[in-house]
Amino acid sequence: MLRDLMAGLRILIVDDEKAVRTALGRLLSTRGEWVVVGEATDGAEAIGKARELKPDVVIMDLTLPELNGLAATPQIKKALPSAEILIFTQHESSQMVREAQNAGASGYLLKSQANWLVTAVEAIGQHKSFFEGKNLSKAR
Amino acid sequence: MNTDDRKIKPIEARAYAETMAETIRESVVVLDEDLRILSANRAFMETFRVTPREIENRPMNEIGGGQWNVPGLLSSLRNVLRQKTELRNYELAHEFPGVGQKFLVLNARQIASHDGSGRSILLAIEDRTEERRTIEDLRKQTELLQLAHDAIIVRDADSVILFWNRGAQETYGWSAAEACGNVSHHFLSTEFSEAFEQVHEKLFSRGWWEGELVHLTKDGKRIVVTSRQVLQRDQKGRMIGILEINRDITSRKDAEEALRNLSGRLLQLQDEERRRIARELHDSTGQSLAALVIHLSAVNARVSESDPGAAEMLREAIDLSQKASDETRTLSYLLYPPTLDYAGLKSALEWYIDGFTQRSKVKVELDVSIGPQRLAEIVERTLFRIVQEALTNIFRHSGSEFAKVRITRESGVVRLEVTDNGKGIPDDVLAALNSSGGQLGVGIRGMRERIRQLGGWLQIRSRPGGTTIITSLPVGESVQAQGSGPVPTRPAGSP
Repeated sequence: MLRDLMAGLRILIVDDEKAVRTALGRLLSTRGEWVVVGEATDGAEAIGKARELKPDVVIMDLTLPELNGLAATPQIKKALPSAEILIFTQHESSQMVREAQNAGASGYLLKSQANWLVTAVEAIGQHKSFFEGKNLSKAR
Repeated sequence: MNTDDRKIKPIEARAYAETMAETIRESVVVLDEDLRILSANRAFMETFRVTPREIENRPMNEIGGGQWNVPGLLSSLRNVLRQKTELRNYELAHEFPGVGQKFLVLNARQIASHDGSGRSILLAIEDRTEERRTIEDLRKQTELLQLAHDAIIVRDADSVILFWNRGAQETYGWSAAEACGNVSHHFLSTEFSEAFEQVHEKLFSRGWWEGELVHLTKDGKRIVVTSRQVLQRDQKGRMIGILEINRDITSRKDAEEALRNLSGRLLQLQDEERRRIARELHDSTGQSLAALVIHLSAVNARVSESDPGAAEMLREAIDLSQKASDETRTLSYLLYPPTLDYAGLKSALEWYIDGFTQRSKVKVELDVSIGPQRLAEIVERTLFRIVQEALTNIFRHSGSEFAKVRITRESGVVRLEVTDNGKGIPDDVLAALNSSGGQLGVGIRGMRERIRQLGGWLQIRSRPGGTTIITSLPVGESVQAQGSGPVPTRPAGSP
């Protein structure tokens, strides 16, 4: 059981900003047991990559071309119910947090609070939710 | 009564005539053929300041120090007997020494002498000096009125035009001859700024009325005039006419309208610019700062164990970049809340009011009942800005600890009310806010122009104890349902 929990997480990064994707890759790689299995730049690509790569965790931006993160989230959950989705966004809004929860996301983190990212990924990797913390108190 | 009784004896007739002559106000003189005065009535002596002794049997041209020495008149009088003519309505304007300037109308004819000895001349002199002076004064005044550029119109109690100056002709195109005799408000197709009955009521009760009117000129052009109308009464208080002075302010009105349009347009441009900057800050600068925080966090994770000193410096760098990122986001949201585009008016207002209450400690009750269909983008933006402006004013000026924002939608119209229970707006400030003058609009005044351009209106009601801003706008077209797709799909190629 403990071995399962501690097992390496397979992570899919969805963000249309290359600088953000690169930075995320470097940050996540500080945890040696985690693997970034792929990247996507829009919602539709994210659904395809999720089906194909079967990640444990999807780090999902909200503002995306083609299909936005909020619309892609329920489709990924439908195709891959085991995947946990962390919304990682610039949008500071309590309503957006509610919308993300309703869409099936397990966590919500503001990009400016990226130093919490490892903690957040760890939490949802263990099938816990991550909606608490500074981002939410500030999101009001 | 038999016919004999009706015959008046000559002696009685003379007494009768003399009594009449003494009684009438007209001067009457009887002259012989040499123009010597045989008799004159009291009116003559009073008018020309002579005594019976000074005139009796003296030639006309010698009396009163030669005051009647008017050769043309004397020769015409002589002809009355010599050529058996009459003098009819002979007009004489003459400076009478010791009496002054007189304007007289003379009539003379021959009569039989009372003693039957010959013929005499009966001269009747009508003094029209006063009447002439009045006419002359009026003519001078009229000349002055003619010089005025303003349209000056005099009308009677039934609004029939009696006088129409050159200014009126220049303003309206019709000549005095065309205008006089017409009922003024029919003639000019007047559009009153208040009900016609109200205008008349004020005119008759106060004696004057002032306001703006719209008139139609001869060539069919609509012009706006400021009109001042004054009731004129005679000494007994009876109304004799209405003096109306109108000034064409059409070009000023047009300029004001252009300025108002410009004002609304400037606000719109300002909004578009804010929106562009907000997006740039949020999507571009914000993303770079976010990436910076992530990079720094990654470095921090690598050095935290091996180099605690470096990790500490990195920690500070991360804090600073987070602060910059948060400030950038807050600034972009205040410039233009993205939720307004993504999630609609209600969500944007909820977000804004949350922040407003935190900053100002003013509690705000929000009630939005506009149904699931979104309002047109421009309507949402305008309403959001009015709420923002109104709440900011409540915080700054009203002293109220509470505000209520209520938005309802009914039969194609959306209505917004923002109410506080503060100290109210001073009367002069309120009047300035509620006026739609030509000043370039900022704040609420600018909002009013934008609302007007959207076909709506804005009104501010205030009294000590509270202020309410009410605005009403046509709903307009919308393409998106409220709450659906709160996050935009970013167009390809945009940052």
